[in-house]
Amino acid sequence: MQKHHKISDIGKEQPFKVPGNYFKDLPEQIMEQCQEKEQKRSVVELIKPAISLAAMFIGVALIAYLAIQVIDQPEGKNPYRQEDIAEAEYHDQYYNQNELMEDINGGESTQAEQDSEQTDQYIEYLLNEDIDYTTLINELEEDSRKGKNNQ
Amino acid sequence: MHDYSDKELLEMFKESDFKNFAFKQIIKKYQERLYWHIRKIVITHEDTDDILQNTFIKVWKGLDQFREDSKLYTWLYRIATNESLTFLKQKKKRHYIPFMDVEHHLMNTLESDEYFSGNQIQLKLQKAILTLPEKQRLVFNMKYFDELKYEDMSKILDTSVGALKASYHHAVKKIEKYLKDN
Repeated sequence: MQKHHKISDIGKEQPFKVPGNYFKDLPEQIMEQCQEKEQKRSVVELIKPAISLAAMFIGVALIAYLAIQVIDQPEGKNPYRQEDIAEAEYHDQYYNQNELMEDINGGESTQAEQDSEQTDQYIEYLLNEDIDYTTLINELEEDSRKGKNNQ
Repeated sequence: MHDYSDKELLEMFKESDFKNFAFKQIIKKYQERLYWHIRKIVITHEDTDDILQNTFIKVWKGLDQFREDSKLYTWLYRIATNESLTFLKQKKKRHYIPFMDVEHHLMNTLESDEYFSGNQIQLKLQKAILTLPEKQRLVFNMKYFDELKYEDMSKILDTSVGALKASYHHAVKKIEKYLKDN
């Protein structure tokens, strides 16, 4: 069997083949694809400015809406009214010792408070019975004298 | 049918009324040369068909910007070559083929290809070409089968004429050694 050691012995013939009519049909196939691409590109180029414009309008409208919301906020809906802030500051400032003690004692009233309440009751009784301060002193002095005499 | 020159076709392509006609003529003129060029790189008809169609679609998109200071066919070859090499890279990634095994994979494809019509010695030559590194393989095919000038190959592959000559010389030596040893 003869051996081929030189490339030139083999020749340049194509050892491959193609399906029948391949080169006849190919130009038409490629042209169809090119037309499709062209149409897609045309549609995109046509609607691109409209989409850009719409996006710009939506952006502007959104910014305007947010700006109006901030500027035109109704007072009742504002969670940070000046009065609320002032009240909060007042409470912070006057959170006094008694309130602190009350909190520590779990809300039980102190002796001083009980005395104060009793005094208020006495004054109210005297007012209701129309007993003035002088009458009361005189009566108390008379009672005191009677007591001494009895002793 | 009148054979239009590249210059005539490019001028017609610029006029909207003749754009489609001119492009169809360009396809008809170059489809076979580009097909065989791609086929020798990727071996199977199916892959060649995909790459050739993609090549012409890219040409369609870019022909408006084509600078006429270079020849149309060198520009077409360049696009076809890049498309083929990109395809091989993607194939490696897609099928997890190790870099050195691509040619081995193509050899197996060659043997089972229903559109391979060569005899045993032609099959052996194709196998020998597939043992070459990618760039040498391209150079050998373009010089030996397509009979391109080194100057044109230089423009297509972005390589100096001297480097191409050396590359072709090494490729021939390796192929002859393969033919002798196998």
